[in-house]
Order: sequence, then structure tokens, then C-alpha cells
Amino acid sequence: MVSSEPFRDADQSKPAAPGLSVLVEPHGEAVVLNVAGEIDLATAPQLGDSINAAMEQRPETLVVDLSQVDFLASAGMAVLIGCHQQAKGNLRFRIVATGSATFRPMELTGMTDEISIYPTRDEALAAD
Amino acid sequence: MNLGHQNLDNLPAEDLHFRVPAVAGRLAGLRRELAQWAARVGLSDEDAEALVLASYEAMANSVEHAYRDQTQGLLDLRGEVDEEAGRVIITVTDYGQWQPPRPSNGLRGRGLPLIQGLTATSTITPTSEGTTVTMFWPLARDR
Repeated sequence: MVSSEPFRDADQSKPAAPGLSVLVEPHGEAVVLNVAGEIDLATAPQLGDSINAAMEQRPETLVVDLSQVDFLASAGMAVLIGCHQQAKGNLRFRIVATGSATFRPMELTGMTDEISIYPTRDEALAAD
Repeated sequence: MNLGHQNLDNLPAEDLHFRVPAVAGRLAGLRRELAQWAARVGLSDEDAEALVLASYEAMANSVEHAYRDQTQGLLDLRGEVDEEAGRVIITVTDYGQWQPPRPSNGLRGRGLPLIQGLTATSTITPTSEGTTVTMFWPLARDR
């Protein structure tokens, strides 16, 4: 790739990053945020805005489903922890994550000890 | 320090070097380049994923902390294959001053622990001219 061009700038003509999409799905007294894409320094604020907007609907339970997220940077974890702290005493804040792209980074930073993380959406919704 | 001119003509074919403005919007593209590079030089899937995330965190640190008082700075991302040692070396260099971490409120400061968790060996070298993060991963045996 770089062999013919030993030094170069990253190509700006390439398509923009896939970014992040958040779908809000009501589930009875709960709200599920179906998150897909990449959570990094650039997209983490968008995730925070989506979670805050969902919290304003005052659901009993808010599930952030990261099953379709294929990259999670610490900037995204910071947003999730901030929302978790904000949810305390107001609503149940749960995360669905499994696999190396999302669960492993949260495990490595000790975040899995602080927040309830479930392997599937059904388990997150069913837990008391 | 001379950011304008460097003799990089002798860069081996397998190596990678990007110099970009240290802004968040540039990092996703670099992440994809790194993923392709890691697959091409022969890392296990697990190590390739760790390399991409740890390198991203190092670059994100430069974007967030190195140039807080300036409008723009640069960062260098380098990947080298060390065949003899059977490993790859990633370095991320910026030319600013990292601000001391703010008192932890649990929100920030996960980037460096994450890097340490994703690499067997990593060093962070602050100098008067900037900061370099160096990280190593083993080449896959069956590549």
C-alpha cells in the first residue's frame, strides 16, 4: 500500500467514515437504543446526545444495545459512564455488549465492574 | 525539530508512515489504514484488533491533550515490521505538551490503561519536543 509512496498524507478523497447510527425503539416501559457503527472521539458526542434525549422520556429502563458496534474507543466509554452516573436513582441503565470490539475494551478498563452489561437485549430487558 | 522536510525515501516497503493534523476527524481513516496494514504484515486477528484500538487511543490522546493551547499540531503514525524479533512496532508521536491528567472523575483517563491492557509492551516517552508512544505486537507464527 505505502510501498510506492513511502510517505504520504492520509487520503482525504476516500468516503467519509461510516460513523454511527442510533435507532430508538420503545419496549413497553423500557427504551432500547440500537447503536450501530463506530464509537470514537468523533462520534461519541452523538451517542451522548442520543442517550440524553432518550433519558428525557423518563423510561423505567434504558438499554443501550452495542451489539452492532464494531469499534469502541475510550471516548465512547467515558460517555457511557457519564450517562450511567446520570441515570443513578432515576432509571435503570443497561448496556448490551458481547465480543472483542466492545466487551473486551470495557473489561480491560474495569468498566464492566461499574455498569451492568448483558450479552443479549432480551436479558437486559428481563433483568430486575 | 523540522516538521517540513524529512528524508523518508528509505522507508522499507512493509513499513507505514502517516503524518496528519492532530484532529479527531482524521483518525477514522488512519484506523482503517492500520487495520489493512496489520492484516497484510501478518498479525493474528486478535492482535490486529488490539493494535488498531491501542493505536487509536494513542492518537486520540495526542488530539485531546497535546495541542490544547494551539490551533493545530501534527501527529506521526509509524508501523514497522521487525522480522528478526518477530514483531511489529507502532509509534505515535506528537509535538505538543500533554497536559497533566485532571483529577479523575471516572469519566476520562481510560485511554492509557486501555493501551496497557492491549499491548504486552508499551512505553510513553515525553520529551521537551513532544510525546512518543511505542507499542509492540508479535507477528503471527503461521503468517
